[in-house]
Amino acid sequence: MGDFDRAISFWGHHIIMVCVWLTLTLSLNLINGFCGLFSLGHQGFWAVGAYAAAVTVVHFPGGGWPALLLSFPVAIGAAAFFGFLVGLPCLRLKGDYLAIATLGFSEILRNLIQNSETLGQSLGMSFPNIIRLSVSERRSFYLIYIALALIVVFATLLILRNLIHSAHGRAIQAIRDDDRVAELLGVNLTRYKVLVFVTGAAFAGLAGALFANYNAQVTPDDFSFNVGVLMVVMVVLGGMGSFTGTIVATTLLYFVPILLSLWLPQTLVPVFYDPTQGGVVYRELKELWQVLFSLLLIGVVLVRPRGIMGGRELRWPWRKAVAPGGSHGCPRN
Amino acid sequence: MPPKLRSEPILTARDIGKSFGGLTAVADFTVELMENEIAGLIGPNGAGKTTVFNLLTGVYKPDVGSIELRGKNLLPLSPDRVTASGMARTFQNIRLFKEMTVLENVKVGFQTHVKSGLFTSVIRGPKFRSEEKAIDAQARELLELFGLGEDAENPSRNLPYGKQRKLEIARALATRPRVLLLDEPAAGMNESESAALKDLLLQIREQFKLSLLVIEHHMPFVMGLVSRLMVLDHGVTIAQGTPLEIRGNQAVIEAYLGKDHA
Repeated sequence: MGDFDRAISFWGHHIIMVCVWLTLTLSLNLINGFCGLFSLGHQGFWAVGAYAAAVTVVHFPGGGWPALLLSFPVAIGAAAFFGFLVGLPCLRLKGDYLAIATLGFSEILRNLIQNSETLGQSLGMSFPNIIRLSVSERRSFYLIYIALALIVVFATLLILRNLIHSAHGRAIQAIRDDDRVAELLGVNLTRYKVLVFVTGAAFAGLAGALFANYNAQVTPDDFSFNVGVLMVVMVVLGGMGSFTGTIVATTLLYFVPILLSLWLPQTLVPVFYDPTQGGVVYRELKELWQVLFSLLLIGVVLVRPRGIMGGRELRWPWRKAVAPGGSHGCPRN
Repeated sequence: MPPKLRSEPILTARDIGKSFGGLTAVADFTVELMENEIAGLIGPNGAGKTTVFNLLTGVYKPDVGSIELRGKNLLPLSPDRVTASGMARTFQNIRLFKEMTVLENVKVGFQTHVKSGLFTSVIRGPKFRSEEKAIDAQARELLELFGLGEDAENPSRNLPYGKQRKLEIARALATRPRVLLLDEPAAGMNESESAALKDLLLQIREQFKLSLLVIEHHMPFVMGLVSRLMVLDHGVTIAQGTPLEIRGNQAVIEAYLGKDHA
């Protein structure tokens, strides 16, 4: 394997995975940031999408490319349906209660998957990687899949941005600021809260299909509570109600641990003193990336309590600040 | 100058009542608001004035009684449908959308009139663009009327207090109401500010063909504005009449000052 092949399977993998994460966090920001509904269950919708895609690829008669192409709409539809199922009963819940209910949903779902024989229980589902099998070279697979992943992220960003910059987006943000007043100005709360859940879930489903078809394997552990927490951290750190903030924070939080483990030198550092272990205890510096990661998080939150971007968006310097008819989150700090 | 009152009531509430637990907040409240009329609702703290507004706009459902707006029964409607039927309100404690700009606050008010569906909005079709343009122009027009044109792009929470009150009225007007309920619009304003607000309210009544129901304590403001006053005390309507009649009413003086001072 040449240098290029090695590089592309390492970085290609991470580029595809960061695209999966971006699709997840951008859509989570619609729910948590723009509409102010604090969901901790996004990994559940992601799981629905991933398993729906897996089931389609495995069980669609004939398999192959038709199954692959079909798996994306099926994943989106299945996740959107679950978004509707969760969104409707959760309408009356706010804040912590909504967070617990959505977390409950995703954990119940994971337990159901873990006990379902059709879905492979704890071992999950493995299936042929249709794109990989249809190209001869590894590098072609990565290039195709990177392109697909980037298209998915750009489509997600464009659709969500256009939604937010419309009358519907204003209604969604009004609900975040004061839902009672929004309702008295004619905003149908039921309609918009369900819409937000369904849309957010649909994009999580899309991320699920993107992930499943790349990995050719899905297991319940891929969608654990920790994953959901990391998504929320990315959204909060980037700034609730800022798409560019979400992009910056997601990319940063995804790559920092990887770069730390890559670049930290091989050296022992003293960590703590324990007489039972013979005095000062040393650890490999690479093993301590999580400590550095935590310090970084604490630092950002101390310096910028409303997230890296607050409610603002990064703009291309050559573009005027307000797009025609655009409604924009205003600076908060 | 004041337009001839047509005798048709636009808003009719009959014998509405509401209790929370054992506490009666409002009992047997009746109001007939005529087209183009400005009526006032006064009463000591805790008399149930804001509860009346919450009952009229569908925030609370009355235990008994009926509410009709232009002949339409409002009781089964949710607050957003009440607003769509032509009634809007402001709030005693200012409740703007704090993270949104002044302009966006007003734009939210156009919600019930938006016709572009989700799909058109997401693909930014020509219908969406022309509608957004129209909303933008109308919202800016409303802001100009209230002297807020300069502040359009500022965060609403950075506005000074008096302007925040005005923005609430502008936002309510964006829903194109026929009946506007104002909850203490002159609170915290000085004499000249409240006099200017009074003129503005008289002007928008003409311009938008409005009927107004106003909660206000500030008597000089109320006296020059309303043609009729209702006085609430402990949820009960204790007096009704012209401002002059109310000023001399014994029951009203007792409600405000206590029996010893009457």
